[in-house]
Amino acid sequence: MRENMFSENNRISGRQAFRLLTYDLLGLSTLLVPPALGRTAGRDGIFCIAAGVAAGFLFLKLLGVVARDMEEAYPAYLVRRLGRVFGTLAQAGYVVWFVTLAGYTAYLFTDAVKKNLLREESYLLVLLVIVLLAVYGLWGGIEGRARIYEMLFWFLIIPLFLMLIFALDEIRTDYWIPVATAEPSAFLKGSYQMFACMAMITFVVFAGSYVEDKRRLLLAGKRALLFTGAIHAALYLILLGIFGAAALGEMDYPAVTLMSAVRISGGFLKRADAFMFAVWFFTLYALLNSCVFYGSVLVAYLYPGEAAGSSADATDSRRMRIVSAALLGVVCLLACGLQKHPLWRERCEMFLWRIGTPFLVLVPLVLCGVIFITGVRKDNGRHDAHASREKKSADREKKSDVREKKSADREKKCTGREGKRTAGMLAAALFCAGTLSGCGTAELEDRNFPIEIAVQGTEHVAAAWMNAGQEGNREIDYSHLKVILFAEEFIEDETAMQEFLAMLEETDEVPRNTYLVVAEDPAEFVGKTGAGSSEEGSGEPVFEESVGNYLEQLFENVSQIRRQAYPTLGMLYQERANRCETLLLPYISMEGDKPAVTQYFVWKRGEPAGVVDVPSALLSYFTMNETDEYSLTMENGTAVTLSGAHNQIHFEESGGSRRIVVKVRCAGKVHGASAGENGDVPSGDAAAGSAEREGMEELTRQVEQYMQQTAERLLTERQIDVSGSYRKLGGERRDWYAEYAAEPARYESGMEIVYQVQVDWE
Amino acid sequence: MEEKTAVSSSLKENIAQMERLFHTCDDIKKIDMTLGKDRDVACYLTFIEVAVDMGNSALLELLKYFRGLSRAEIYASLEKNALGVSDAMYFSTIEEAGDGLLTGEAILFVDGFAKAVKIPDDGYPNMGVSEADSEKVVRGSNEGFTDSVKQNAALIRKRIRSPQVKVSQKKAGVRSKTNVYLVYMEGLASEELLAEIGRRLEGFEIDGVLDSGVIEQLTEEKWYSPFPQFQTTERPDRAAMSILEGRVILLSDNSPVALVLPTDYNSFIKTSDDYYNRWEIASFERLLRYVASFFAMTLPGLYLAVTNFHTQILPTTLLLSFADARRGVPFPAVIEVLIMELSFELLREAGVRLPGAMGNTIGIVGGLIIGQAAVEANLVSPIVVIVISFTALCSFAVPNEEFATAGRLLKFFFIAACAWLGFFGMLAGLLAVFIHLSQLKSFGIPYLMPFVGADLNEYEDERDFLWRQPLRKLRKRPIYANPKDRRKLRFSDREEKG
Repeated sequence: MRENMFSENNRISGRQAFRLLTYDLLGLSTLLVPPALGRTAGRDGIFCIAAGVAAGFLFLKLLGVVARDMEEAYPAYLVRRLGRVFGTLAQAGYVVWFVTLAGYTAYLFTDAVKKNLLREESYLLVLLVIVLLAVYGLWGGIEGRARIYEMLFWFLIIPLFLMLIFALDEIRTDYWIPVATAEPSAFLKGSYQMFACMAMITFVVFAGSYVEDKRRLLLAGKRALLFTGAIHAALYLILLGIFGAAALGEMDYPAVTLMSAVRISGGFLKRADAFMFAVWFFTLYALLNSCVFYGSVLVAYLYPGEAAGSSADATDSRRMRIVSAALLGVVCLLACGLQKHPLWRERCEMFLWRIGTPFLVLVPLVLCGVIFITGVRKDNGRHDAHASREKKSADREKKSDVREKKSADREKKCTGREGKRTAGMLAAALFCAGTLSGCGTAELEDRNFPIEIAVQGTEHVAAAWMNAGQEGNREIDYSHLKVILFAEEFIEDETAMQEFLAMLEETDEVPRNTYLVVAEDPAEFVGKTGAGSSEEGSGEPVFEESVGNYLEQLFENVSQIRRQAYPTLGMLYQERANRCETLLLPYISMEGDKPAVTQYFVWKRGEPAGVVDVPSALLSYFTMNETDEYSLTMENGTAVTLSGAHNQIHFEESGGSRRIVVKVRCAGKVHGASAGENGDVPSGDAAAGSAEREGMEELTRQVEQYMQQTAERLLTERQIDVSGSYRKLGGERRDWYAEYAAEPARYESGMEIVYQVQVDWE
Repeated sequence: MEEKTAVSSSLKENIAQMERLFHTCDDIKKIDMTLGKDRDVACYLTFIEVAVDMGNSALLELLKYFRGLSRAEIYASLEKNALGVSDAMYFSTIEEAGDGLLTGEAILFVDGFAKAVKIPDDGYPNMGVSEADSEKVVRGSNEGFTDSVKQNAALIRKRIRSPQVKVSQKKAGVRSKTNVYLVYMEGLASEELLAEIGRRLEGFEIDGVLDSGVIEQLTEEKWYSPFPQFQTTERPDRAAMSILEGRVILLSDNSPVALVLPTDYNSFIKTSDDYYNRWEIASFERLLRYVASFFAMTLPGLYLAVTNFHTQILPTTLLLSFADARRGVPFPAVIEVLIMELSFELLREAGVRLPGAMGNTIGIVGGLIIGQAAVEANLVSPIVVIVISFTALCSFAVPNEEFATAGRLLKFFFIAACAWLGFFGMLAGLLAVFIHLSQLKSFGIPYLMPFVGADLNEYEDERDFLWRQPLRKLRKRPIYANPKDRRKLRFSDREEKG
């Protein structure tokens, strides 16, 4: 019945093995590798990923030699090949590695849940729920686990792909370059970090006894490595393109943060980070389960009980359940320790990556050596001995069948009691866990959802922010904050601003995609909602909708400037580390009864750089290809609109002076009759061809002149580069990049800017 | 083992034994009579009054026939079983004769003949073939199973006229002695499966089996699971379809609900007309049902998780309208949801128990009047009414009642998990349900087929899964069928090329 009806034969298919391995590889590595690579190799991280995956393939090849030589479960094979002493030592080493990795995974899992889903909840409660789920999952054996991941695979991977596709829109490809700048040691370190995560492919030898065909298992391993490598590469490029290398290196879980930073178009789901956390929930759970499962199998071999001898039976037995529950207890304690003591965390990471990974490589390497040296001869001898042992054990098994049948009957009688006991234990554990929980948050109607906030006054802003929640009778929920309005005085105070940003990033209450604007007196815009145009008697303006919503609509739907170009809180966080952007924060004032953008505040490489007028800011957006249309009025009153720009920035050096060359290529349109009257662009068919051409050239020259003058003025007088060329420098001139990287403040003062404009007039 | 009494050649003794068995059974007719041309053969006829039609039946024909024979001819006919009545059966013990009587047939004892003769008749009264109450379809037959196991078997035979359709009779219930039929297609159904069913049916002793649900509960492996491990159907066409897939149908007397086994998650989402309609619409509807089965379990929990924990997911205007709607409601959101859910379950229960027209009235009164009044009295918010109504709709879209019930129960589990831990609770709950489902199986078939283990049937089952491929692509039987005979559709060469 068992054989024919396929289930409960303690076997998994090739597809299940692939998905199981992919889950094991994906969870921890996508959390750890991107920030680690951001810190070490930076933009060269992508090559580290390739190198790490390639090393993973080599390692898998090594494991393949071992797997093909295995005729029994890996723990038993270790003893057969390495002898009792060394085999047992290797088994013990693996147990320690599995338990440590499980503890570390449990810690990361709980920490990620707390930071991303349940900020206020008790760490212990979250950990307990995870551990209880792990106990329940482990009792289903390898088949139960494999089925869960087989089923969930595309349900999680497809949304992940979708999110990555949504994120493409936010990428700045300039952040990818320059490449090949990392030191060889940094590159090697990054590659090793990637390999250390890929080395978990060592699970294939442990899964060997559960998959019928070894070739399929190895193929599953290869596919899992390739798939994980591809996801890593795509994810890293996206993270790098959105956050920049330096900021990436400072983030905790950038892959999860990415999901909250991505703005989903369509408007039904504002942010999908809570949903997308499911990817890490299931992958980290898979890794935790795998570690404890294989750890339990090893413990069962190290301390064989009555059922020892046949791995399949041992895995199914009640003893295995007890062992895995005990191991999970240890894992739970370790995870608690890791949370409480940062030193433990450091040592744990050191053990996993500096001792654990070499150990994982060393054991199969030694095994391959043994296979190579002892070869077939000894092997045969061992096989003979093994065969005779197996025969004896088969005889013993036959005799024990009768005993087993009796014990099965006994067990059957016990099942009811045991089931009740288990259910009772789980209920009790959940009840205890419940006492750790506040079990609830403020109700929806008991919360305030500020849409915009004003930040002003340069002293104690952080403290004022923290205490804001205690004012009034409602909890403040910043999750729908659209706009932060900074007072000009505040944003110009660099210390206050940095302190404020650090506080916001640490508390992580405000969405990263909150827009930032500057105003002289931001308080006059906040909380003024209503239907009329002015409050009765007061003469103060009252807007038809909140300023936050108004500005959000303005930036996203009305403005010609791409919404990705408007600075958000996340960009300011990033700039604290990256220091490469020239951001233009809209400066609003009242125009009639509406707020309007009247100037722009420049945030240059993470520091305030004063206010610029709207035309200069628009030129900057136009130069950076961030606007669909750019309108300007010439000195003679001709109004033109430039659109479809494909502007390029180059760097030139001649006669000791360095130039930023902006090549503008766009379409142009002249508005109003004045153009023809002034002879700039002859209109209609009546104009002669050459006169028309000359008129166009003259107009182009005027546009170029206007741009040149505006850009030059800002560069020389204010050291503001409207082209934002600094972030492109590495891709074009590596030598300059290296030179200015040490002293970026020198960049603008040593540069000239040149516009070369080519307009196709309509 | 119970001792049995042999039928005696003495009529008096037999009458005494029958009287001993059926004393104080006034519904059983016991008639002493004489047969033969010369009225010289004493006999004793006994039957259950309503179960035998004395007006125009085989029994009457037989009695007429015996009246025209001499004493010797009567005995000769009895010895040779030449009674001119099909399906007449002889019993050699009183107990067997008693069982025969209780199946609704007439039993005849003839003086000097040491066997009891069972003469078949209409059997017990039943409702006759009527429309299936559940599993309504837009296209296809509306015939439903009846209370009579024989009629049900005939309804299946009517659809598959093949000698390979086998009906194996078993008895269940020590006292009720209910007839249970196993209907399957020889060669398609797995031998091991049949043996396993037989083993499980013999694995329990119970007083009475009054419905197939009793057998279902006593033979399923994981009794504590809310998910049904047997599929039920009231539709003969669905049963016939399952037989052609290599599955086994278990029919129980007095039950219009047949059990289909083995089964899996996917089977509960399918309907008969999935195969009668074009593949595009069938696929769309199936996908809709999958989504419905998910939301029937999770929607109220999801609402709580989003509004209490992860408000950033919703657009601001929607969130603010949610908050506005909640203003003035005196209960926390979780209590509000629970009140509404319990009220809805109460209405459903009341609607089911009340007679037809009144049941409908309760639905209208509950849904419209009470719902509206509750909203106006600020007891619940209109958003919650919408959420609960949508959940109910999703639950109704699941074609199998038992399966939908599992979702309805788990809904409360998800409400608790999400009210406690938000989306983490939802994920933990989902994982717990997935772990449970992954460990569940029905007669050896993983419950999550073909989400899992599709490679076992060369991924053929994935053709008829979340969506249904065109019928001409479904050429192989699903995993349940004998692996040697999985091909179910062939085209002529010309069609094949086309």
